Amino acid sequence: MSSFIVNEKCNGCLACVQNCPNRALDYRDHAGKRVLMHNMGLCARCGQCWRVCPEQAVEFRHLLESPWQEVVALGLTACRVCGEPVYTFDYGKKVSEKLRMPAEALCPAHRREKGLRVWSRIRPASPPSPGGAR
Amino acid sequence: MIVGNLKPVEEIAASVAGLKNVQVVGCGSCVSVCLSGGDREARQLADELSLPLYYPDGPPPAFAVNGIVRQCEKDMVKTYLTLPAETDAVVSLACGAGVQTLADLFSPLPVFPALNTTFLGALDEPGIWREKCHGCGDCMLSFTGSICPVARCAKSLFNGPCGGSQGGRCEVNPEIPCAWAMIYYRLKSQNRLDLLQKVNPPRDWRPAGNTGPRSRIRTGIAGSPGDSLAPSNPTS
Amino acid sequence: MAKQLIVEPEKCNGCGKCEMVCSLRHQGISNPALSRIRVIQGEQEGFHLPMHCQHCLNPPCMTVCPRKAISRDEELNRVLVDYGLCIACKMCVAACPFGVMQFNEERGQTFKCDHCDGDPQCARFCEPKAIDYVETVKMEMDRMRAAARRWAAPTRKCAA
Repeated sequence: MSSFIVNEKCNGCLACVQNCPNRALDYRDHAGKRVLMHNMGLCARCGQCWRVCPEQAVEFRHLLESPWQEVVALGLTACRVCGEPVYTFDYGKKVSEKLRMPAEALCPAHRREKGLRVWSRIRPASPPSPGGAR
Repeated sequence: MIVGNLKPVEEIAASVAGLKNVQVVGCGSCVSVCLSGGDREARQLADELSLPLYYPDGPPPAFAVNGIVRQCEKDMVKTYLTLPAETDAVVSLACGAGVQTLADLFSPLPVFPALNTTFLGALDEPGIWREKCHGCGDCMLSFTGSICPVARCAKSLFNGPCGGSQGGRCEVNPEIPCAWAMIYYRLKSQNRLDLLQKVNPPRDWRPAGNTGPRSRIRTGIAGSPGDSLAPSNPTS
Repeated sequence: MAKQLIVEPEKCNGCGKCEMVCSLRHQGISNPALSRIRVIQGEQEGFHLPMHCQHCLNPPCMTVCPRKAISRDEELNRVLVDYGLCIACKMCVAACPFGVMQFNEERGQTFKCDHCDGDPQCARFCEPKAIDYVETVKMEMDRMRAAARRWAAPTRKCAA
């Protein structure tokens, strides 16, 4: 999906190709067709093509508002209590490697709650105050 | 954006005369956008520099063209720009920042500038770039309706016009408009003529670079995987 | 003398003042979600548990940080995050066993207890003194005495 879009007014004069300061536009004449090509890696989005086109065929706004490209999709690990995604599986592996123990699949809120159960088992010896717990 | 102009070709040729293999390196950012130092210009320059007429004392060097999106980022250039082993010198079409980055990186290989870097400017209309900013480090645009008297007044006056302008043109350089006339009309359109009553005191020009090259330092963004303790040393 | 935040959940009445002053102190607004100390309501367990950074001596957050942005400040006995180095990768959030390293999505920054640079507001405002900022040694002695009294009471009864 290219971000360099020309409308139907383009007649293949190649003025854009000749005037691109970074040679980010090129063309290929083959099998009865002229194919205009654009290279986003070389493009500085200077706008020269848009300015120089005699037919005003270059829709520059697509270079300024290009669509989102999907880059990568990684599997997620979810909190085993509430199902909220915590991090990706690979990330969890990395954390486990660094800690040298398996990382827990718990969101921070449920990690804190885990503390409750631990604490209730090791409750310290202080007596409850009058205004305290039920 | 940084704007520059190509040097006279004779001057560039003089710096590489007598050498065998020269890389002509374009830059894909500012100088491309102001049509001075992009890949196209690099190729044109390499072609022009190959002409024997510039080298009365011997054969011209062999020129090859190279380029990178930004020459002014050392880690990026180090990773992505390789020069052939037999290169004797580089001619860089980048602004002074790019030329010096290449020179620091490839030292002691000589890196010569192909452009005269001139100013920080904007494209007022296609084909015309004009200086807008001096990088003075203490922006006063909020008091002048966003028209800079430091860069656009020939005398860099701070407190109103000198009184010598005629027909809205500057008395020092009649080809430019009087910046303070423009400031007046801008502030008038904003109903902020009261800002003209403010007296701007004599400025401390030290942030403007008068005590040597300035730097901006930000931590937490350093690049290479091994570097985790110190921010990148800006002088290395 | 190294101080630490001591929490005695039995004394906590769940008022949430610690959460209010913590978020106010650090972010200028009173919002428990932004508090570095979070009171966990334990209906089943029968008490409230204020949870905050334990300032571990060998912190897992420090171990996993790829930029070495987390360090121990021995002077104030706390674990500190250097936000100049932090890249917000949230490894520390994933590593903290107590869930007390939190992440502010709006700011794109982690946050956790920093003992308010030596004057923890939660301890200051806690009325029942469920949270206190005491020297470790003193805390240990208090607990030892309380435990000793509890042990001694039945012993005395038996002897009588």
